[in-house]
Amino acid sequence: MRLLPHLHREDGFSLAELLITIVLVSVTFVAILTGLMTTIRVSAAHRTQATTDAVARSAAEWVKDSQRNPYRTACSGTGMYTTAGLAIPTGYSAAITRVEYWDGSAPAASGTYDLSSHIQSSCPGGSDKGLQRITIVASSSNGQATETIQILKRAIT
Amino acid sequence: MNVRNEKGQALILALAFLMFFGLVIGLMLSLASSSVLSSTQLRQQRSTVYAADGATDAAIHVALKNIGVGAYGDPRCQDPTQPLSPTPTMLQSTATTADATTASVVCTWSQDFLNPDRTVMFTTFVSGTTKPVVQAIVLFHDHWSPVTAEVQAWVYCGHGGAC
Repeated sequence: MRLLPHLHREDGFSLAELLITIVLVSVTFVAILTGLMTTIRVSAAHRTQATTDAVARSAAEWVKDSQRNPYRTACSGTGMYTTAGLAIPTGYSAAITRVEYWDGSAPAASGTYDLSSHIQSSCPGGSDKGLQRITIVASSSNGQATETIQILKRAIT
Repeated sequence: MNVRNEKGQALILALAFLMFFGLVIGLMLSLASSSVLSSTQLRQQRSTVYAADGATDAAIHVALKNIGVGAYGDPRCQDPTQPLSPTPTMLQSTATTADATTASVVCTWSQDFLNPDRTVMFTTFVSGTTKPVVQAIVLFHDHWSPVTAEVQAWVYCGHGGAC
């Protein structure tokens, strides 16, 4: 008596079956590879963006800090403040690109005071009025990410 | 039906194989897209906080330089005994960055009209939200020369808008 007679069958896979299998496996393999590559690419871009964001925040806090960057009334533009001393990872940079000045206008007796229309690029007549809008740009050297932050810095009295 | 017949098993296996890897790829792409989403959310949160911080600082400075702001009964501010409302707005500031975040500051006036100093509460809202982001309580020493501002509290409101 023969046990397990099907093991002795000599039928194999047909050519068509093999071809279909190869095609299916190939398609799946290519899809997996593409998916993996996309995930890696997106992950790298995300890391760059997140790091640039962190650099921008750090630079903003650095410039806001009245110990490291005391309020300056010299009206000499971006040179008044610095990010020197801030630890920035290799491949990233942060720069102060613009300093604008409050014109010192008094608010009307009622209604909303629109600050944006009272901020100007040149030093107001007379002297600095104690409030500045500073623009900081952080970017990655590969050009993948750029983050801009605007802060308002006031003279502490 | 002969259950031992193996014809057609390859198709089932192949389909199962495809379905499994399809799911794996779908999950991987979903993970990548949530990373991108979290980056966007982080950027929005950053813009919101910096816009609110800046507008609050600006409001304090404008009030410092103009002693009528936040004085008892000032129409630019609100009655502190009433619930806070988004209007009237004392100050509005719009960033010139790409997202052009707008922050609006409302203030409540000093309650004690006999006190020579003002205690003003500034609450800042950011465009697109009805909940406050920052709340600051500032004591202006009006009887000093020059007038000074003493920030007594600076609170970041939670997601629920509670300060």
